[in-house]
Amino acid sequence: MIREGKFGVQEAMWLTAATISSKVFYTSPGLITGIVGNSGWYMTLISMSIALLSFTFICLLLKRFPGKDIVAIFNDTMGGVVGFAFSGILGLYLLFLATSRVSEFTNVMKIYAFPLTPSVIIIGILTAGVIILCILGLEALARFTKLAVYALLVGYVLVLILGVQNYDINNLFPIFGYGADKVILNGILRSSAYGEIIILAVFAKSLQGIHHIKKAGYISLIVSGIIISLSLLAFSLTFPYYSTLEITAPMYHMATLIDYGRFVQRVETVFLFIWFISSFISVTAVFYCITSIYCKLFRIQDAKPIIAGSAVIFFSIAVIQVNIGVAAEQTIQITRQYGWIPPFALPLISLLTAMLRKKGVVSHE
Amino acid sequence: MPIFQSIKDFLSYKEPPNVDQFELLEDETEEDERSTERKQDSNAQRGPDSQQNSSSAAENNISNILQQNRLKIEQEFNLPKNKDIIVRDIQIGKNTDAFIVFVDGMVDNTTINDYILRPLMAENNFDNIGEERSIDYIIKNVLSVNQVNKATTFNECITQILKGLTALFVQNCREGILIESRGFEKRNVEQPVTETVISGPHEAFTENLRTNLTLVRKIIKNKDLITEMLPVGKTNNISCGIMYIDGIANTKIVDELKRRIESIDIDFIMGDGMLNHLIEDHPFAIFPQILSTERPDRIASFLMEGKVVFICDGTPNASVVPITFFHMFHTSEDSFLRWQYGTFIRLVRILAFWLAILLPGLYLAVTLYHTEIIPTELLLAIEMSRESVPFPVILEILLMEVSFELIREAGIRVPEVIGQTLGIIGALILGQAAVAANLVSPILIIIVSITGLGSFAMPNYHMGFAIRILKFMFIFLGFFAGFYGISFGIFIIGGMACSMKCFGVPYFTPIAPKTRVNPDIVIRQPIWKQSMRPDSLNSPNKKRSGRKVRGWAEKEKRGNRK
Repeated sequence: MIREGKFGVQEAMWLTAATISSKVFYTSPGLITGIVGNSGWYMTLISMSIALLSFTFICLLLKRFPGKDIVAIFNDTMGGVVGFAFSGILGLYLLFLATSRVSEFTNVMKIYAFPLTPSVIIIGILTAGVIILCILGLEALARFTKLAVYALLVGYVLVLILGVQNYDINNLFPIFGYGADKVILNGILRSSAYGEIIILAVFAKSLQGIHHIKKAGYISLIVSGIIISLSLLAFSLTFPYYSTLEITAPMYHMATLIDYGRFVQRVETVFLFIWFISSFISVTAVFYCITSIYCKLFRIQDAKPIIAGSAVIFFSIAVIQVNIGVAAEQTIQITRQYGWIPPFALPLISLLTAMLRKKGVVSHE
Repeated sequence: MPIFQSIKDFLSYKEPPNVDQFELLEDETEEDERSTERKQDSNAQRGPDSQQNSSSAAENNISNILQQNRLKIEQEFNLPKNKDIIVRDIQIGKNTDAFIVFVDGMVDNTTINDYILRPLMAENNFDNIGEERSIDYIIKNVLSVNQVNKATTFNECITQILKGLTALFVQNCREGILIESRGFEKRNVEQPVTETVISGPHEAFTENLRTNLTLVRKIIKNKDLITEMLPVGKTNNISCGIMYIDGIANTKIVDELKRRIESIDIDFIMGDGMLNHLIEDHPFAIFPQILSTERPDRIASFLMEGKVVFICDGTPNASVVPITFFHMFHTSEDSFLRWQYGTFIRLVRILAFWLAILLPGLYLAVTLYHTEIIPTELLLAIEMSRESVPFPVILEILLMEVSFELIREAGIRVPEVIGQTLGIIGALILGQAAVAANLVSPILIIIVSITGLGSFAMPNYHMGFAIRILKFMFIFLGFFAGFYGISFGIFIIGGMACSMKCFGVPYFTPIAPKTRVNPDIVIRQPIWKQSMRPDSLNSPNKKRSGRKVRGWAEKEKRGNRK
C-alpha cells in the first residue's frame, strides 16, 4: 500500500509554498536580472498570474476525476501508453528540478559557507535527509514544514527589514528594465518558476477533495509570488543593476551587508538556517513526488524500497551536475524557459482530451 | 544459520503487513466496524478455549465441602511452605465450621480481630438465623465491615486475598465472602519531588493506588468520573486504574487504552513507567509520548480536558493519554498564575529547550565553521581564553558535558544532603579546577552551565532526558558540518517527531496539523477565553464554559449601557 497520509490545507499550502519559494536563495534572482534588468520583482508576479491560470486548468482536470491523482488521470484520459509517457515526462521533469536545485545549492554552499568541504559531502548529507524524511512519509514532511515555516518566515522578514539600511530607491529605475515586452514575455515563459505546484496534483489523494486542493494551490501560489517578488524587490533595491549580475546568491549577499553597530553585523550565518531548512524541505518534497510517480506508474505498492534506489540515482545526477558546473548551469537556464510544459501544458492537454473524449465526471456546479 | 537468515532477510524484500493504525476519526461507521471486528476477534479467541475453560471451571468453583476448599487454598498458596499466608479455622456461632484466609502484613489486624472474628464467633449473633442462607445472613447481620462481597470462584478469591482482603469460607456454602480488611503500611501523602511549584497544591501521589484515586476524586467531585480497574502483569498481578470523565472523554481513546493494556502478555510490570513502554505508539522515538506526573491537580485538569488517565499500584505517578509535544512545557502552576506570568514562564521554558539542545552544538559550529558571525571583540576574547587549552573544541566540550552528566547522575544517587554538596563541588570546584589546569576554556563553562540550566528548566523529567541525549547528537552534527549539520539534525528530528502520534493524536497538534484548541498552547490567554476542549480529542462535550464566563462583568457592561 502506498500510504501518503492525509494532511490539511495549511500543511499542503506551506509545503508547496516552501518548495516554490526556496529558489530565491539560489542563483535565480541574479539570473533574472540578467534577462529583464531590475524589473524582475514584478515580472515574477506575471509568472505567478500565469501559474494561477494554469493551476485553474489543473483543478478543472482534478475535478473531473474526483479522488484520483494526476498519474491516474493521465492514464484514464490519454490511454495507457500516452498516459505513461505523460507521467514519465512529469517524473523526469521533477527529477531534473530536484537535481538542479541540489547542484545550485551545493555551488552556492561551496562559494559562501563551506569552501573546503567536498561537494559529495554536501550532497550526501542532503540526500540522507531526503531519504529519512521520505521513509517517514509525506504527512511527516508536510507537518514539519508547517511547524518550521513560522521560524523561516520570521528569519526571512527579519533579513528584509534589517536590510532596509542598504535600500536605494534609485536602483529600481528604469522601472521597465530591458523593456516592457521582454518583461511580459519572460514573465510568461518563466511561469515554470511556479511549476512545483504540480506536486499538489501528484498528492491529490492526500488532500480532502478538490476544494482543499484549490484553496491550498491558489494560496500557496500567491504566498510564494509575494515571497519571491519581495526578495527580488529587496535585492533590486540593495544592489545597482550592473553589479547584480556578478552575485551568485543575492539574498545571502544581502544579509552579509546588514550592519547595525559593532555587534549586529554579518547576520548571514543566521540566514543559513532558513536557507538550509527550506532547501531540505523543497528537495524532499520534489523527490518524494518522483518516487510516488514511479510507484504509481509501475503499480508498486510499497514506496519504501524504491526510496533508497531512487536516492542513489538522484545523488549521482546531482554530483554529475555539480561537476560539469557551468555547462549544467547553462542547460538549467535554457530548460527553465521551457520548464512550464510538463507541469502546465501536459495537464491542459489531458483536460482537453478528457473533454473531447467525455471522460470523467462533469460537474454542473 | 541465523547469520545467513539475517543476511537473507536484510537483502530480500517482504511486503509490510497492511496494519491499520489507531486514528481518532470522527465518523461513527468506522467505530462500529472496529467494535464488530473486536467482538469477532474475541469470539474467535474464545472459541477454541471454551472447552478447556469448561473443564477447568469445575475445579475453580468453590465447593460446599469445606475441607475441599481448604485443600484447594493450601494447594494454590503452597502451604505450609508459604509462611505469610494465614489460614485460621473457626466455628461460626459455635456450631458451623469455617475458615478465613489472609496475607499477613497486608491486613489490618484490628479489623480481623474485632470486626470479623469476634462477631463470627459470638453465639448470640446467630439467634435469628431462621430460613435465610447462612452466607447472606453473615453478610447482612454479622460482619460489621463496610465492604463485603460474595465470590464463587477460587481465582477471584485468590486475587483479592493477594490485594489484602480476607476470604471467609463456610461449611455447606458454595460461595466465599471477601471482606475488606486492607491495612498495609504505606507512605503518607507528601510534597512532589520532581514537580514542585510555588503557587498551587503541594500534594503528590503515593505508591498506593487507592490513595491516588482518592486524591483525584478529592479534586473532581463528579459522579461521571469513572474508575475502571484492570489487572496488569501476568505474575505480579498489579491493579491499574483507568480514570476518565464519562461524557467528556472520547470513548474511542478509553477503548483503545483498555485494548492495549489487556493485550499485554508479560509476567511482571512494576508500574506505569513499564506499562508506558508497552502501550506507547512509537517505542523507538526519543521523545516521550505519554505524560507521567506525580501531581493529582494536574491529572484532574487533564481529565477535565477529556484525556484518559491510568494509575498503577506501586508507583507514585499517573500517566495521561493522548498528549502532545506542547504539554511537556506546561506545569500546573501555569493555571494558578495570572495569564501574563504563565505565558512568560512558558516562553522561558521554550527558550530553555532550545538552549539545552542546541547551545553546545552551535558553539562548536560557530567556532569551527562560522567564525564570521562572532563580533571581533568577542572572537578575540574566545580565542584568548582558548589559547592555552591543548584540546580541540570537540574534546573540550565533550569533556565538560560528560563531567556535567556524571555530576548530575552522582547527585541523584547519593543521599540528599551529600547530593547538594556534591552538586556544588562538582559545578564550582571541578569547573574552576578545569579552567585553572587549562583543560577547558572559561567560556565553555558558561556554555555548559547554560545548557544544564536549560535542561533543568524542563518541567517534564522524561523530556529532560530526551534533551540531554539530543544535545550530544547536535554536538556531533555541529562538529561534522557546522550549521548545515545542525539544520540536518533539526530536519530529521523534527520530521521524526512530526510523524509521531499518541493514541491517534498527532504529536504537534494543534500547530501541525492545525486544530481548534484553547488559547493555552504556548501563549496562555485569560481563563475566560479558554472555553473549548481540544478539538483533536473529538470530545463529545467540546465546551468548557458558558458564553458569559464572567457573568458579573457582563452585567456591569449592560448596566453601564443603560
